[in-house]
Amino acid sequence: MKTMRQDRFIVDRGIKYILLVFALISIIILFLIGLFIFRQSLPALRTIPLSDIFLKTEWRPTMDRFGILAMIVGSVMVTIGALLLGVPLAIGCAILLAEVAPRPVQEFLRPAVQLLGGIPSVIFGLFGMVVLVPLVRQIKVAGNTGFGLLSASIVLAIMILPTITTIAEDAIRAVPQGFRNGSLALGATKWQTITQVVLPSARSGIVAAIILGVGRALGETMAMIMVIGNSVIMPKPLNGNPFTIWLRQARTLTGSIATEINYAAPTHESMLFVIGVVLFILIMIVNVIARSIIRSRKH
Amino acid sequence: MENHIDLKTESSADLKVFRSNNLKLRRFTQNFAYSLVWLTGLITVLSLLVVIGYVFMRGIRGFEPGFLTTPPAGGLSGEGGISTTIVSTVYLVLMTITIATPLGIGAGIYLVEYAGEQSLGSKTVAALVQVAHFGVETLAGIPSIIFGLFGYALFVTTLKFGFSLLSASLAGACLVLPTVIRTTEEALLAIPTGFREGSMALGATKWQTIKNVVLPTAAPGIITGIILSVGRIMSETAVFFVTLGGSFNMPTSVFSSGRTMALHLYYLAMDTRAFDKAMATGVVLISSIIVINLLINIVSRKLRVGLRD
Amino acid sequence: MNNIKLETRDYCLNYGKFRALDHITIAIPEKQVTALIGPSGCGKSTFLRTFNRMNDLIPGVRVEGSAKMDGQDIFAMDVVQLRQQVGMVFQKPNPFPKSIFDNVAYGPRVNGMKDPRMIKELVEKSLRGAALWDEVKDDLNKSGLALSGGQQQRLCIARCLAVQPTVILMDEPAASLDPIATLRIEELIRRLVEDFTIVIVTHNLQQAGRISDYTAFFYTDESRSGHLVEFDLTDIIFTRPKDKRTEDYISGRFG
Repeated sequence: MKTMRQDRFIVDRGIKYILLVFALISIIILFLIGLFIFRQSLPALRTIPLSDIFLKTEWRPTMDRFGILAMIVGSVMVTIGALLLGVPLAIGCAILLAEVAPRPVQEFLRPAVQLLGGIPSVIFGLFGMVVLVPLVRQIKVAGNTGFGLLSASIVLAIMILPTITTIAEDAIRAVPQGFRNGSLALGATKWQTITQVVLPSARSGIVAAIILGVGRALGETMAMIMVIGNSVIMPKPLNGNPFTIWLRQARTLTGSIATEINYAAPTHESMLFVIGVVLFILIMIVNVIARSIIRSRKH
Repeated sequence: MENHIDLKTESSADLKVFRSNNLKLRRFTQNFAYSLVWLTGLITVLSLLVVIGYVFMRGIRGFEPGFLTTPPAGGLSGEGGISTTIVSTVYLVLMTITIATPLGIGAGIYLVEYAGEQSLGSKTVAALVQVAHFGVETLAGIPSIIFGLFGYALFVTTLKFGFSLLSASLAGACLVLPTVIRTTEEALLAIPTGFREGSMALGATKWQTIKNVVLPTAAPGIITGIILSVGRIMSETAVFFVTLGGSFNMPTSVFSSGRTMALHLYYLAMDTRAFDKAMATGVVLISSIIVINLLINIVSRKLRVGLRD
Repeated sequence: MNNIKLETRDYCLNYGKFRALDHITIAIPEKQVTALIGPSGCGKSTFLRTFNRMNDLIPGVRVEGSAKMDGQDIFAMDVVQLRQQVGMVFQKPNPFPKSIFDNVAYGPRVNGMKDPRMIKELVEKSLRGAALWDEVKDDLNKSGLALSGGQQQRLCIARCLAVQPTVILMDEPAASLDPIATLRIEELIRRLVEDFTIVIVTHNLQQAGRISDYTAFFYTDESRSGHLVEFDLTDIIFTRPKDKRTEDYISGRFG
């Protein structure tokens, strides 16, 4: 009897420590990612001055020109474009799902949003290439190929919409019903209640949702490659109209990594890791901001 | 204290007039706002239908007999089928899940059962748990391409696994790990403490309780996480793009290069003009995702019923 | 004899197939405190919520019979207009996550008041009317949620007053408050009744006896539908009730 009892407890103890190691695997991986990406980026960082990397727009690896500014602008602009188009749609859907739509509509719309979020990014990229780009090309401006920031923004907007909608809807639903009751009992309309009580209360959750959408947008790779064109040139308007800047082709940070990693010479490859480090840091900042917003809401 | 409350302001009469005017405006504003809100829902649903509809309509055209059973012919023509990519995808999914599942479930179990609200931990344990959670959440936000870059640096290059299913599944496991851990945690947290207390009161050890009581009850939730990860692996491209290589041949070992269906779609679109074939591949992809979504719904419904008893 | 402010005739309310209120006929007088009493689950709160149509928010609710205020069918009115005239104080205080000032100003503002001077005046008068002004006048920008439970409830009352209703519905307003805060609310109610018609749901029989002029006793039988058993002056209900069930309830034999 005594041996049986001991065996059980030894197993219990052992498992506890094994599982502890498992639990720490995530942080270990995170550390390894940081380590390896940073390590591979060092050769380039040592030989190329930082100002040449971050302040120059000329990216010609074969001629030792490694300016990534144009890519940074590309990534930022396409993210902004996606937010301009996607956030109003996403918040509208969140309000629709949480406050306005009757139950049967919700049961249909919510899975639709989920499905939209589950569609692989390459499919959106393909659709963008085959349908959207020719459509955008219809805009009669010299130099407009259809590929570029506009097409990419539209594709990206549809891709981040489910992320933002889901989290924003949760934040809106979390607002206590007592607030709504109080507002309606004072003679406010439902819409007034939504805009003046519910949304302000849910503000931090909605902001967190948008920021997570930003993170998603910055990290998207393949779909962007497929529709944004492939020129690593600083985006500028095509003619006198400043809006035509959106018709320019561009390149994202992510796109550079993916398209060039397979054939890059050593310094070039190391530079791609530098881009990786930049992305890694950007995304970390975005996620830390989102998380601190969510946490401050809980208090 | 005043005995009589005089709430009438000087312009109380104005207030009444104000009110009835204001009501029409408010009703109008609400109707207008509601129509905008409904419009966003409509646009979203339309986007979904248009994308899926177009891919299916055009994809059917590329679906010649034997599409699923013939390998791609390669080259610029985009001829052939997708048989090898299906096999590569299946292998990749199996390998990735094999690596990620034990690690993820184990991590989830530790974080909830040994270090969470269900148990009393020491200060160091609490700190470690914070660190672990930070790791999971951060990892969850890292984009696919970074995992790919990491996989390229560590598995492909340093460990010299080369562009292979092995490198890709290791990188992919890192990618889906947070999902498995989170869903495991949620599933475990949903179980009332009463279950555990009942078992411990009968003299079972912690691990026995977990193995025999907690895990079986949490199984549907955990399985949901695994199915989610499968869907993720099938959809992902960037991470596998830089770790798998691009070979469209049938994989023969874990060191073989290969292509998932999603990657094949990308290659078709970028290297060839065979958009119909790309769309057809898309049809297979989307169909699989829909099936996976349905599976998740069925399993999570089972989960809700299970806990209700 | 007072005018009738609120009345219902054969009023029934159904949740789907379940009849929550069965043929309620009652005439509630103006500028009096009417207490609705009865055991748990007999529909008192549901009946209270008839008068500002808060039950409309529940999906699947059907009503029969008539309900009127000042002789007008409340279901024919615009619901927003109705709620301007019939205010409500809830069981659990629910101040908005806004400043004290913005909480009280909310009602007038959503109803169209724009003049900042008028709003400021109204806020002060409402806070005075709710016996809260002296405690908060130095910092109206403080969050409404930072107040104590009793203060929050008085804030909700001030919020309600600012809309200048004619009826105030109160659903167990002191249920979550300590005895001292409860007493202050009761004093407040006795003051408010000089200008407002007040209908209050309460579980506390002593409270009903203390503050109400009229009392309505609700009861439910095996059918679980709520009935109005007796409605009369509070004095009569508590000393010479006509129905045996009323007498049993008052003397504590059940409920």
